[in-house]
Amino acid sequence: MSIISEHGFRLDGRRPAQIRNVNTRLGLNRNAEGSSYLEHGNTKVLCAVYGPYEGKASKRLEDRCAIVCQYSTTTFSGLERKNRPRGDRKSTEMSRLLEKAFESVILTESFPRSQIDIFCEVIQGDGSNLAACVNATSLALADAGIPMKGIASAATCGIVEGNPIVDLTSREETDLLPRVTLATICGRDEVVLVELHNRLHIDHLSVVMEAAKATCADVYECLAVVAQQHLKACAPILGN
Amino acid sequence: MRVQPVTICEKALILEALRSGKRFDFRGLEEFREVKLVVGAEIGTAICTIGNTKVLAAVSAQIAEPSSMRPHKGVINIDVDLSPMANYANEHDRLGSRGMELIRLLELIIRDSRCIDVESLCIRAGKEIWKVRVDVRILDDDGSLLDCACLAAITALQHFKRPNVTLEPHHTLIYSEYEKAPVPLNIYHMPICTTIGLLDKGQMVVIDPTDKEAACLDGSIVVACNKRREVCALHQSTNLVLSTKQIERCVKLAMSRAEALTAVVSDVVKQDQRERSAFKRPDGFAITAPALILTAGTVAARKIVAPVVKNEPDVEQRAMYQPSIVLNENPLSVGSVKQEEVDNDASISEQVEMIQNSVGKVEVTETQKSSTISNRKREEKEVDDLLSGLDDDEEEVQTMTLGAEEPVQDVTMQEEEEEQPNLLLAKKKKKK
Amino acid sequence: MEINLSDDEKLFLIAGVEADIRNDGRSCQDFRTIVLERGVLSGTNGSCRVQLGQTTDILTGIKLELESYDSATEKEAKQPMQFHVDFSANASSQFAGKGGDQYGEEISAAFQVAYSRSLDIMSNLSKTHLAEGYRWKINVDVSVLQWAGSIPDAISLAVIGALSDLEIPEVEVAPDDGGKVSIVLKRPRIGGNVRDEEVPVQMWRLDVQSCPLLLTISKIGTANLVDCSPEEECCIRSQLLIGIAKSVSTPGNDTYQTTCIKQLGGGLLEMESIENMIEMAQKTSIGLYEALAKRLKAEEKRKPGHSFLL
Repeated sequence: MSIISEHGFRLDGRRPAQIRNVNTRLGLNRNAEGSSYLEHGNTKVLCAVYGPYEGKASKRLEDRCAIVCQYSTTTFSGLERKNRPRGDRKSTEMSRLLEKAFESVILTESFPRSQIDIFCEVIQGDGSNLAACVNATSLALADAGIPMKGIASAATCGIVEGNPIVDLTSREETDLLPRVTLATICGRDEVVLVELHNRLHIDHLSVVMEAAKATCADVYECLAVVAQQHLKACAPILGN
Repeated sequence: MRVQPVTICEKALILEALRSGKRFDFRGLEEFREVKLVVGAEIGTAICTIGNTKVLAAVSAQIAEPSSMRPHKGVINIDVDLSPMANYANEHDRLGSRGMELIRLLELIIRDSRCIDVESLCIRAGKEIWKVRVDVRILDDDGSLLDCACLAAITALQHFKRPNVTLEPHHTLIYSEYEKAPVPLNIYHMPICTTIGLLDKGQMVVIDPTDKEAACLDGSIVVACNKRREVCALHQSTNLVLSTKQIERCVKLAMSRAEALTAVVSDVVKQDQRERSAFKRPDGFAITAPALILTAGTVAARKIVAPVVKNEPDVEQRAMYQPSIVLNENPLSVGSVKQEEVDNDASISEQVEMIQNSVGKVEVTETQKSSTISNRKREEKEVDDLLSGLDDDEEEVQTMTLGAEEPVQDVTMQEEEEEQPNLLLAKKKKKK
Repeated sequence: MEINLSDDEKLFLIAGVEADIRNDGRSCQDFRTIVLERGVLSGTNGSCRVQLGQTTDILTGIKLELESYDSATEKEAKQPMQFHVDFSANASSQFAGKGGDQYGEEISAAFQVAYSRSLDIMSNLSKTHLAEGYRWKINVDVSVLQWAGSIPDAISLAVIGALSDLEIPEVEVAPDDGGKVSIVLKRPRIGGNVRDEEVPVQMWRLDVQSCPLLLTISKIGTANLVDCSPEEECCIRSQLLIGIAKSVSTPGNDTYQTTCIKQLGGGLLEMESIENMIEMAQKTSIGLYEALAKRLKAEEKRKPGHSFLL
């Protein structure tokens, strides 16, 4: 089954460079400092941010704040049922990637000796899970009012016969399709996360990178609008 | 134990040096460290050193039952041991975040990039498959750990041969290496990993950073490539902000490195195969150990020399203290006591004399030493000439050097002297 | 999220509860507002989300699995439902890592007990047994997204909601060679040039009328109360988890059976007060069953592609 049909459409009817619908809602978790819910088509992610607070002594850093991420998926999120929601190798890897990306996004020097917890829960996974988590986390951090270099946006892109396709679904995330997950700050050419799956020929690298960068910028537009709207909705509370 | 952070002034020094294009190991910014690759006498083992970083990889295979999801595919497991031996910050039996990153990336590079044909590892679909296990032991850690580990693992996999099997209707026959030649793994491509350090928001590239340099840099990016110009892994190893252009530049750098190292790996493995097919006993890791520790002949020679120096005083001492032993045997004899005192006086004077003598002797050897240095150089040259001319036989060299030596000798000097020819030997072996 | 209350605050709460007035204006037998929506996740066979008082938030998804078992070793039919409760770290940072595992296991064990006789209680559950050695396994996975007290109550509502939403495909069982059977999805026959694969598979639903409800009845001071808020949970002397199942043998004359009793946390209880608490659970469950049945009937089918939480 080909990923792009002869008429130039993908399995779910999108064009190669078209992203899925982005739906978001901010601040729905009352216990957390910041929270967000984000949908990329059928990929649904819930994210909560706790902190900054005085965390565990073992994780404390003298010059900046420690960032602890936890990526977990509900057992019913994927096509097959999973036995454990977290703790497997893939989840810990995802957690670490998120941690690293946000260490360079958050102005960690502002909160020495403290800790920020970021919890991502993939309620339904339909491809581009890591990218969706990055986007959800950015919004949750914005909701929590934690200073950042900018809103980070991410996208997963693949390449089929030299043509880039963006925002992959789980049916497109096959074993052979090379795909790059890229996260940038404010849609600019500032990469905070890059992760490659499967082999990619060097001639295709710049094509994929360009496509991913453009998609990140597109996603950023969506996120920025959401964040601004949320701020306006909160404005009565702020007294202005 | 926590890692001690690099001190501020040391960090400043290293950074200043890097910014002026200098490094503490006399490398340029875009220069790699020397890679040494040795395959073991045992099939499927390899040691790789990059500078001071040293990694041992061993591959083994056993028959196991496949998972129900993939009934006709072999399994490749990767195990990493990041012991306190390499770095005291590591904990025993616990990987920690650094180890987790390493093992995950190795899995990504070796398993997920599909460089090994797992279908060929199937013996009986759904029943028996080969389970290949790659054990990676970090012996010494001085930066670019992943590059070294990846190279060692890939070489070990290239070197590895699994036992041959034949299928009978109801059972599987496994042959030993004497009955049927073992089968090498089907390897499609060789992913080679390169760590590239970045400085000043990615404006400056510091290739192959050492441990200390890595601690001072903004971060690093890890790229794995193969000869077919494919990128197998791309990983931003620490938090840093980059542009896509810089990433592409790093990939290009890694690509040229991968091409060079692929040739080295296949050379090493091929040479080993040639030697084995010529029924030559493989040297294995022996050549990585310093020759001094290695050669039994040296130890024997040192043992002979060492007692000769000490022998003389030993004999005298026994003569000196003999009376006191006699004294203990006859405690009641009164008359002999006085004689003992006299003897004691005599022995003390004798001892003083002896010490004076020995002091003099030492002085003599000291002067001798300086004079012999020029001699030694000449001798070494002679030995070299002889070595290059003659078929190098170890014992012959030994007798040659011993014969040319002065009779009075410092023990340390002797050691140095012995080391020289053996090192030469080792070098010659490598050249072969 | 940890709540620290001073002694005076606790006294205020306890005295209020004993006078049948709670902090948020409820009486002891009142529940907070319950929001229930079904069919929220397209990737599952059945799903339901329950919100209790706008803060406790439970998401349940059901995945069906065709399970083969050894009919020789399993003499008695096992109930096909498997429960798994996971406390998401989103709910509270104390559930990060393995923090929520113990509590989750405790609750899933209670549900396993409460549903252990479900083959007898639920009228058409035995239909999940397809043939000798084959049955549908119903994996009920619960994820606690937000936490503000009365988790078991909310979970039991979400489980019932998800079970009512669950669609199980009809199958045809035909004998095959070697004593085995082949199981084929049943599709209605439609004339015309429609390919077989395009005809939707026939589905059937479970009858959830008599699914057990699990209620937490807490003893605060001398009063018993349902649906505690997190503040009230700080003052609890002892708490019972009581499973109540409605039996609909004779229409109009329903009886209520207790399917499980479990003490949560510590504390001591007299026999008499246990009886009182069970009685209270039965009384409140009547109202809850009614409301639930009404809601399940009234809720219209969601359009596909609808997103929840928005």
